This record gives sequence, structure tokens and C-alpha cells, in this order.
Amino acid sequence: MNDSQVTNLPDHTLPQDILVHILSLLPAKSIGRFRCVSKPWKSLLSHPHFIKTHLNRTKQLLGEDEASLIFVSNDSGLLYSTQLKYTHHMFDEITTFATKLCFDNHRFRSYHVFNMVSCDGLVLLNDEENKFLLINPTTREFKELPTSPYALDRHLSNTISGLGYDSVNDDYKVVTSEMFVNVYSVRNGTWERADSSPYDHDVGYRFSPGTFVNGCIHWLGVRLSDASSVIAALDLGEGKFGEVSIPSWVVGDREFAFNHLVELGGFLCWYPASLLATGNTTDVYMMKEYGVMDSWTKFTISHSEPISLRPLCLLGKKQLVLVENEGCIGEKLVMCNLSGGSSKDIAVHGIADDFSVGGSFMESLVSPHCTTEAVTEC
Amino acid sequence: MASSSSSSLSRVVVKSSDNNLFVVNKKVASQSQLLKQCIDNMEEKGTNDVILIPLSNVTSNILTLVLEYCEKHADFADDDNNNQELKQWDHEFLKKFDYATLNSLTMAADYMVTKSLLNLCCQFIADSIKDLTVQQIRQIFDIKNDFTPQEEADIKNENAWAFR
Repeated sequence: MNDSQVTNLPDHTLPQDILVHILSLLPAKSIGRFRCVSKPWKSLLSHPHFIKTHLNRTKQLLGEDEASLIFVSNDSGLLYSTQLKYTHHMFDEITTFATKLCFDNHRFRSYHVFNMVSCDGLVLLNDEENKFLLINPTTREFKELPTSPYALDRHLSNTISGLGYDSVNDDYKVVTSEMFVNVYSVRNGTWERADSSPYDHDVGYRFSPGTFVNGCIHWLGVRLSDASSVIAALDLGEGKFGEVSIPSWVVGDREFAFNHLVELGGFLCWYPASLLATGNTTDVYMMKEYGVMDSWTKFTISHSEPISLRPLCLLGKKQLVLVENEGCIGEKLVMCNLSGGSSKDIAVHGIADDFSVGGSFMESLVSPHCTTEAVTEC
Repeated sequence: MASSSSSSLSRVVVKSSDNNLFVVNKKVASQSQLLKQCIDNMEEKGTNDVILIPLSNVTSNILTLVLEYCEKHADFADDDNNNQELKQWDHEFLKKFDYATLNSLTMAADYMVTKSLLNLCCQFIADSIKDLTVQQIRQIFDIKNDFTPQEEADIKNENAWAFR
């Protein structure tokens, strides 16, 4: 036991490594508060190394049981967030409270939150002036990204194609694509032009950003060499393009581009575009083992009438949070139990009735600012 | 103390820092990687005597608690980790202790390399402090506020999101 330094330490004082272990198990909000305990606690709890430890513990222990959602108020253009937890809900309706998030004077429209992407607690979206904003909705830190010097068309090059983590360089990366693919390094604060893509990425009936799973950003694409439909993938560590195979029984008869990709519970998933809502069930397919054709698994969501739906996140492996009838009368947020088939409405309080649902993110302390070794407060 | 008749040990004797002796059967002792390592080493040497393991960092009242935990978990050693009855028992077990005892137990679990007890204690402490105020944390961890009033106002302002 270390009783040599400070006087008055009781003999039950915890050693530093155990203290770090305990503190890394706390919710992000407690950590923010406890930075105000003392100078040593402030520097410990703000250190990038601690933030990484905390991120990994959260993913390991809570990643499957907690998720947060982003909303935008269509009146004020302000963002809101709420946290959902995996629980055995007793009631028919789940109630959640949304908290207002302010990012200076930035305002947002519904299609901005609709096309948001997230990774490790960071959220990337465009504001109404079409600027890129990288935010951490938990800590309220945010950064406006510069426009790429390689941009050919200001509008197109500010269209988000993806956000992901590059484990080779320990860096978060923002990807945009027009004629060329441009990659922004959060660590360096700079844009670079990637190899040109052998795929056309803009093939959906509605543009949607890429899906980050297993170190790669995925899009529905068309191979330029032979015009065949594929899931194209950009490996952020290697900076190389590849493909993920999808069995024909998953694709079915439907036009390839009339589908969407989404990440649920860390897995790449495939679901039909909403304009094709016809039956009383919707099939969602999940690639349970990355890159393995045989691992694609179907789960079916039942509903009482033909509706469109957009899956948002998975809680506790079996509760799927989704938006029904988006943009139409009867739009609602629903929690659907995949094993029992029952579903419950989620009522969101604390925000004016006219709001749109964005996507999901996890609570973390990860900073959107360039984080080299030292803690920087940009 | 009787010595075991076979070449493999069935019991060990553990000595606390205040010199109390505890006779522990092997299955229970094996919950601690530190004790298991001692037993394995002795068995490799072919010792038939009951071995004595001194633990200079653990007092007898804390050792009693660690061994109570090990005994319970040895009973469930063949079950899967998700046993609800065991989880319930774990919670009831830790609930009884004050903060100082929890800390000592955590350090003993660390020292004796009883990883499941260490994880359990850390999670329990984290759960019990997560909603506390800054002032309460300073009290519990006996930490002096070394910020100037201006610095404290600044750091609170920087982390205002965490106080809402």
C-alpha cells in the first residue's frame, strides 16, 4: 500500500490502477462531474488514455444494453438527445425524456439528422448551411470541419459518406465522395484524397451515408468495370476498396438499390427501402460473422398493416428500436421485441411535437478535436 | 495438522497478516489465482505436507470475507457464469459493507488475484458513487480540493453538461 506521500491518507486508500478501473466503469456524465473533484482527478479523467479505457469498457459492458438517439425539433432547428436502456418494460408505452443540445448558432433540418452517422460517441452531420459538424452529443464538444481543398463541387463534397475508426492509425475518419473519395483525419485535422473508387456509391433511390462495421465503411454500389451491384467497402486502416458478398437469397427479386444498409449491434444489416412496404412483415438480414456468406440471418418484424420502417439500433440483442411511417401521418418511434414479436410505442417528452428522428449513438467522452498525445483544449 | 496421504493436496493453510491461520480446501483456494499458483508449484515439487501460505497484505477479517466469497463461488464453479442465484448472493454479500471494508476487500481481491471478486467490487463501488456530488466524492476518497475558486468555476463551466 502506498502510504508514503500525502499525510492523513486512511489505510484503505485505493491504489491508482484500481481507482482507474472503478472510474472507467462510471457513466460519462459522472466522469464529467468528477473532473471537478481535484487537479489530479481532472488530469486523470481528461487524459486521452483514460477516455479510451472508458470507451472500451463501455462497449464491452454496456454497448448492447444502452443507446442514445438524436432528434431535431422542426420548429427551432435545435438538436435533442435521449438515452434508451434495455429493460423488461412492464407497460405498453415507454416514456423517455429528450435533452436539448446547443451547438452555438448552428441549426439543423430533418434531412440533416436523417443522414447523420456516428462512431464511438461522435456524430457527424451537416448544419443548415451545409457545413460539416463533428459533435459529441454527450459532452457537447463540437468542431466545424473545414471544406476539403480537393472539393470539386461544394455541395456534393459536403455530402457525408461515412465516419469510422481507423485502428491502424488510432484515428477517426470522415469520408466524402464525389468523383474522388476524400478522407478527413480527425487526429491531424487535414483532408486527403484517397485512391479513386472502383464503384459508383450513389445508387440508392435516396442517398444514404455509408455504414461503418469492422473497420470498413460500406455502401450499396455499382462496380464500374461490369456494372454489377455490390456492397462496396472502404477499409479505413488500409485505405483500400473491397467488396462484401451477399447471398442471392438475401437480395431476393427486388432491385438491389431499393435496399438499405444499417449497423445493428455491431453487425452489418440489410433491409428493404420503405417505398416497397406492402405486407404485414418486414425482413431484416444480419451478417452475423463479418465476411462470411453463410452467416447472413433473417429476422422478421411483424406489424398490423403495411408500413415503412427504418431500424435505428438494437438493445440487449433482442429489442429493436425503429421509426415507423417516417415523414407520414402516424410516424412513431417503436421498440420491437424480436423474440416475442410484440412492440411498444416510445413516447418522447421534453421536445415540441414536431420533431424528426435521426440516428443512434453511444455515450462516450471521445473528443471531436484533434487529439495528439497531450490533452488539447482547442 | 494432518498431512495428506496422496501426492495431491486437498487442503492448504493460509496465514493472515495478523497471524491467524485458516484451513482452506483446495477447490475453494483455487478461486484465488495466487493461492492456486502456490498449490500448483508445491504439487509439482511433489510435496505431501500441508503447505502454509502467508498473506502479508490481508488482515484476518478481510481474509474471512474473501474466503466466504471463494467458498460460495467454488460451489458454483461448474455452473455457467450467469447463474441468477449466485448474482443475487454476490449483491447481498457486498451490500453489507461500509466503504472502508469494500476498499480493503477490493485490494485483497487484487492481491490474491481473484479476478471475479475484483470486478464485482469495482462495479459495486462504481454503481454506489455514480450519482454522488463532487463534495461527497471528496469526502469518501479523502481528497483535498486543490482548485482556486476561479479554477473550480472554470472547470465546472467546462463540464457544465455533466451537472444538468
